[in-house]
Amino acid sequence: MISGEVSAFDEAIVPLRLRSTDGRLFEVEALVDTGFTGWLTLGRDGIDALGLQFRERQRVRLGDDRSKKMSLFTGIVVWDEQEFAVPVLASEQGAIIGMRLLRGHRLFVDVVDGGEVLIERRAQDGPLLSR
Amino acid sequence: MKSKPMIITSPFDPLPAEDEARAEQLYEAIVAQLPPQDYGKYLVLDFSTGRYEVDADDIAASERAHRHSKPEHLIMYRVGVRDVVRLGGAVNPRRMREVSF
Repeated sequence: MISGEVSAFDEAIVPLRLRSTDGRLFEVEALVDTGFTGWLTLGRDGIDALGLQFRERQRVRLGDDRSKKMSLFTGIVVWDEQEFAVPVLASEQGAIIGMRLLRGHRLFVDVVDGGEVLIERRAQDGPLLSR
Repeated sequence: MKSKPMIITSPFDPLPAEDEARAEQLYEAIVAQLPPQDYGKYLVLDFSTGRYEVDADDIAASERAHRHSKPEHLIMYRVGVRDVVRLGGAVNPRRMREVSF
C-alpha cells in the first residue's frame, strides 16, 4: 500500500520509489492524476538521476487538446516490495502517476488539507475490500 | 524511402519541425493502407526510413521496431486515434444535458 496526502495546493501527492539502472533506490513525490491515461511521467532530472534508457517518442494529447511528441523511457518502479518495469514519459511537470499504474488498485483520497491519499491493491477475486 | 543521414536529436529536445512533419505525413500514408481491424493498434514508425511496425501490444511493436531502427527516429502512434495517451483533461468531452426530478 502507498500512502500520501493532499497538499495545500489541492494535489493528491504520494511518495513513489524507483530503482536506478545502477541499483540505487530513489523516492519522488508524485502527483496522482486520474486525467492521465498513461503510466508515469518524470522530470528530466529524475530521468537523468535514474539513468533511464530512451525508447522512442510518442504522440500525446495534452489538456488543452494540443498534441505533442513526448520522449518515452523505461523505468523501474518499486511498489509493495515488488519491482517492475514501466514506461516513463519525460515531462517538464515532474512526477505524475497515471491510470495505467493504478490499474488493479483502489485509490482513496480524503480531500481536505493534509488528507490521506491511499493506493491499495484490489482483492483478486470477489467483492472489493471494505474499509 | 531511402534512409539519409540525419542529426540525432536529444530525447529532451523537441523534434525539428521537418522531422515532425515527415512523421505526420508518414503516419497518414501508412494508415491509409492499413485494414479497418488495425484501428486502435499501436504503430511505431521510423521517420528516417519509413519502416514501421503495427501491433495490438505496444511493447511488441516497440521491440520489433528497435531491431531495425534507432530510438531517436521512432515515434509511436495509435492507428486512427493518433495519440497514445492523454495527459490531463477529458478523453471524450462530456455533453451536458438537462435533467429533471
